[in-house]
Parts: sequence; C-alpha cells; structure tokens
Amino acid sequence: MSHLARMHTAVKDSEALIRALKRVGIPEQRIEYHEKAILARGYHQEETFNANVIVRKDGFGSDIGWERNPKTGEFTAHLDEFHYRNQHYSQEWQRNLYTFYNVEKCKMELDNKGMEYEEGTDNQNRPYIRARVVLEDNSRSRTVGARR
Amino acid sequence: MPEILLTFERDGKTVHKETSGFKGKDCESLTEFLDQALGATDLERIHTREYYEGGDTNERQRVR
Repeated sequence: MSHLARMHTAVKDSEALIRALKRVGIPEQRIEYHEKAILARGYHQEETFNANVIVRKDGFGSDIGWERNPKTGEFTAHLDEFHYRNQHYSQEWQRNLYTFYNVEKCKMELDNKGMEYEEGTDNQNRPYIRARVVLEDNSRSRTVGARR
Repeated sequence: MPEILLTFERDGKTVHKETSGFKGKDCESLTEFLDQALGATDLERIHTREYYEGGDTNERQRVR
C-alpha cells in the first residue's frame, strides 16, 4: 500500500451529472443541458428557477434542476417540497445519484488517460473502481499512461 | 503493476482512494488528477511504508 485517502466531493461536471441521472433511471429524453441557465418550471406556473441541467417533469409535479454557481463552478440542486413529500426524488435517491456522479466522473478521467479499469460492487454494496496504472518514464518526470 | 482502488460510499459525497505498488511520492503525484476531478475537499491522507521507501511509520495528513 502506498497511501490511503478519504475525500469529500463536489458536483462540478455536467456530463458526469447527466451520466449519473441516466444510471438512476431518468430517461435521456427528459434530460436537458444548457450552457447558460434557463428557466425551469416549478410546481405552480409562477414558481420557476434557473438551471443548467434540467430533468423535465413526468406528467405531474415540477421540473428538477441543477444550477452552476459561476464563482465556484459547483452545481446546486433545485428540488421542491412536492418531490420530497411524494418521495419522487428522496434524499436516498439524491445520495444514490451523487454516488454515481462520483463513479462516472472517475471513469471519465480514467478514460481520458486511456487507463484500464474494472467496476464492481464490494461486500458492503459500495461501488468500486480498480484501475491499473502504467508508468511512463520521461526524461524529467513520470506520468500515467495507457497500457501499450 | 501499480493500482488505484476507488471505493464510493453510498452517502454520495465520500470517496476512498487506495494506491498500491507505487514507490515514494508517485502515489500522490500520479493520482491527484482524480482528487482534482472530484473537487476533493476535506482530504485526509494516510501515508504508508511504501510512501517513505523504507520508513517504518504511517503518517496522517489533512488538506482542506
């Protein structure tokens, strides 16, 4: 073992968030991304909010969305009381979503580096990724690369 | 071959990263791209023997 690290994470990547939404069962056709935040529909017509990532309502209730904070780059969720009351998007649902956000974000980074990995679930029902690292010796520095 | 094991807590915000097979500080410098990608905060590291290449103690380091 070289080192262990435990970290808390922040949602800053719209693509990983959209991948996570699909993993928790949101149909692709209900998901929208807007580089510039637009108005989404609240439960009552007059209740609207700005969001960059929007899940359009499914027959009743309201849209849900995530708005990017331009200063921090972090997304904040907009879910109204209706959804909490009716357990459409419960806190457990949200925890599951953000867990898969972290998984998808890591997979995107590993894919960008061409690294091989396997994904699974451990005996505590936690998702995991095991990635193999190929070290490339350059003249001045060592980098991570894809298996040749 | 060096490996990275990422384990994702079901709380939606905690990720554990374990590295193995690296020598010295490579384990941090070559895997910190994942910390950055996740927007890591409240990062706690525990360095193990391999990190010190022969050292005999573990050390905790907290980065906020």
